[in-house]
Amino acid sequence: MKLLRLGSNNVSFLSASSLWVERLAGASLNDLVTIQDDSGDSFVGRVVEVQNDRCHVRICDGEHSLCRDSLQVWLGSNELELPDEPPLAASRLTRRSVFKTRIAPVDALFPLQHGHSIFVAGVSLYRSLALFSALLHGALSDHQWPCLISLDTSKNEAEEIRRIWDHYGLEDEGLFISDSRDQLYQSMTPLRLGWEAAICRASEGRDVFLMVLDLESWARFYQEDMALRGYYRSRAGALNGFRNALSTHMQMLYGHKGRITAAMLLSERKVAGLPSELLALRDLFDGVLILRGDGALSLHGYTPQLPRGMDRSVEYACLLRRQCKELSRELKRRRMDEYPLSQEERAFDRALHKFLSGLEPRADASPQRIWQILALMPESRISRVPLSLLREYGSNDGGEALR
Amino acid sequence: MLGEFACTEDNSWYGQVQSHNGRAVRILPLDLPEKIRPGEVLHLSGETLEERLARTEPGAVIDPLGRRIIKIGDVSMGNLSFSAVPQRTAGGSFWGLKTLGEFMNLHDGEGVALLGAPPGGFALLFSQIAAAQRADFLYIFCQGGYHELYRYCCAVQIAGSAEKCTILWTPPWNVPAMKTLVPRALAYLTERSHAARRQLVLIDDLHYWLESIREYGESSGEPSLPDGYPYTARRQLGELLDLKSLPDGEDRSTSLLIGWRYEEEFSPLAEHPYMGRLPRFMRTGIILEELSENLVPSADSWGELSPAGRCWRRLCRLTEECDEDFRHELEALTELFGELFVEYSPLSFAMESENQVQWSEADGKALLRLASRPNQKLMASVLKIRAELHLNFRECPDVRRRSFIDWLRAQEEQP
Repeated sequence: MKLLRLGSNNVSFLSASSLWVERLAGASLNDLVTIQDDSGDSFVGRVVEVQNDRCHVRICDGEHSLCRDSLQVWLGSNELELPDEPPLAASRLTRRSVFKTRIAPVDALFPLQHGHSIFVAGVSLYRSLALFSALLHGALSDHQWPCLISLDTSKNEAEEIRRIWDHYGLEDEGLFISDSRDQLYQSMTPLRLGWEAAICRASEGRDVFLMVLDLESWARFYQEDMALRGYYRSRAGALNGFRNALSTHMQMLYGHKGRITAAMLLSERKVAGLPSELLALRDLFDGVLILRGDGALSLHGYTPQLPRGMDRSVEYACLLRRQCKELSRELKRRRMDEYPLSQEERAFDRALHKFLSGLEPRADASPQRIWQILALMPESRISRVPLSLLREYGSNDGGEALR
Repeated sequence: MLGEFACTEDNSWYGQVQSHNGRAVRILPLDLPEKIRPGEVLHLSGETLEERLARTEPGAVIDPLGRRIIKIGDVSMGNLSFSAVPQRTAGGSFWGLKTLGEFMNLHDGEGVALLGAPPGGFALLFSQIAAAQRADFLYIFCQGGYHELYRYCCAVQIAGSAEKCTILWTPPWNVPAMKTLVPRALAYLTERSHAARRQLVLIDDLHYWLESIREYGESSGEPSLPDGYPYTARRQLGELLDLKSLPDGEDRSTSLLIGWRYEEEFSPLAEHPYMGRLPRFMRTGIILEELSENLVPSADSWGELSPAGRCWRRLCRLTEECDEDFRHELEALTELFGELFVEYSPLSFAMESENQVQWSEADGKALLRLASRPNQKLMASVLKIRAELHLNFRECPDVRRRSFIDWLRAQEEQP
């Protein structure tokens, strides 16, 4: 973080959202400035006009009650900056361990790792809240510091988020919500503050779980920001710029890999019948979770595998996912061709559906739940699951032997 | 001098001379405008891109201005011990495409395009390709952040060729103008006189690059054509795809492998103004479809099919046309063949040894003969070999391929 100590305490005019500063040396258009009052509170502003030796600053931060005479304006802000050299510290980058979310379908099929970034493709913000609430619960049981950034939140959704937050008895310092009626720069503020808070906690040595709701609004803000700065871009050009911005934000977390686990939501997957263009951003993430229309987990997500022997459960999850995916596809095709399903196939279909829609956090750990699924898999399929996997979960299950 | 670089005193801001009229010089900024302030002194360095690049040494990550970022060998492999797996550097596939490359006949000095949306993105897929390739010299154009860059660095170290590789890196926080320098930089690097014999250029996402060129054009005020792209995009794309060159008298060639991200549902091949041009420039294009987490070349791919590719196409057609009685078993056979010879898993970074066992034309004919005259006994044995291969030798693809071919020959010999 860098704060250039070039400043001025000569504020000539102050209005609700902007001020005129005299003799702020070196200020140029679109520069960020920090405004500090006598109590030490600081706000971020942006230079929107320069005339000779005075400049017009618009205040981007939220509500403020400032007095003209006590203000100091510094050029630059405490915005985060990427390191000049690529971060090479191996020990920090390579901590790899599985983050047990205690959501049975996620743990069994899409095991998350500490320090990974996860892309959640939901259908709507409201429907995805169940998953995020469950993830929050998992992060808390895993002793991580939760941090939630919600952009462009409507009143009801904000209430809902606060209800979840209060339910776990969490403090407000990890909650960053911008209202849908806020101005652009006010709306972007939670993003900056949230990122700062997460990185600050991570440098203190705490594990952080960062949630961002959602990419759709962030992308809209980005386009507005570009338009206000005078770059008129086509939709595709703006999309590319947003990809760069998002990627840069994620690189800031990368320096603390292993400490900050990030989950970001894309709330609308379909726009007028077509898949959202932002869906392509999933390439920037380590893992992808896709929610179906009813808010349940779909089998189409993925997490990359670890190199062999790092953690068996990740490898098993991949195999299990593949089996379930093939089988459910086959069942679907047969249902469409109106073939009768056998007794055991019908039972498996029901069990899988139940398993995938059970997103609420439960106390029982995953091996038993996987065993339930495996035990219901038709005979012809179970032969394709490697014996080592069956043995692993078979032995976890106490007395129950292999079929 | 045109094309000369200009920089501030502390070397923190770069620009390039675009034009001059004797008194005033027009400079293209290659860094964020916030970094330069009025009143700062700009130096003309007197160096062009080529002169700067001439000084770079192999085995490093450089940016398009020729500045060295890090050495590839300096990137630690973390706590992953790959040294347990001996990496052979001779023989094997040159392209590193593994089963995807066996689907088509690929030759030195041609261009191959991979199209689709592989899970984990093209950066993951291409880093695996970088780990498996056996080129004499490798150029990688990386457009990702630290994460992707380190993936490539590790992959190149796994391949044992850290000293025979140059990574050109334009991270997402660079201004789009930086990306316009890439075609010239790559063209210069690949055409140097001391170039290696077989060179390979990997460009992980051409679509991303093209969108950045569009963004650059828009922000510099270029009017866009009706297709939505500015004039520069077409010329730049041509320059980039022209990197490939067929083997010359001394057998030196440059092969080009590009990725193009597209979603099946909403950007079909014909609709994109530049994607439709790809088959003109690239001899082979493999369109990837996702089939339960594995990638399979789809029917729209273009290029010259290999024996395995031809066999796979016909087998799929046979499966669609066959009787209901044998459909299940034939599907099992197709699936097994696909799994062994066609499918590619992009999510596993497991170190599988290179596929030495190849599918031959004769085997293909034998398999199709069997599949076109299915009978009860044969079908039972298909299910048996499938169950066997699924349970055993999961870790050794070559053993499974060999035993499948052995099984096929045994079926042939039976009356």
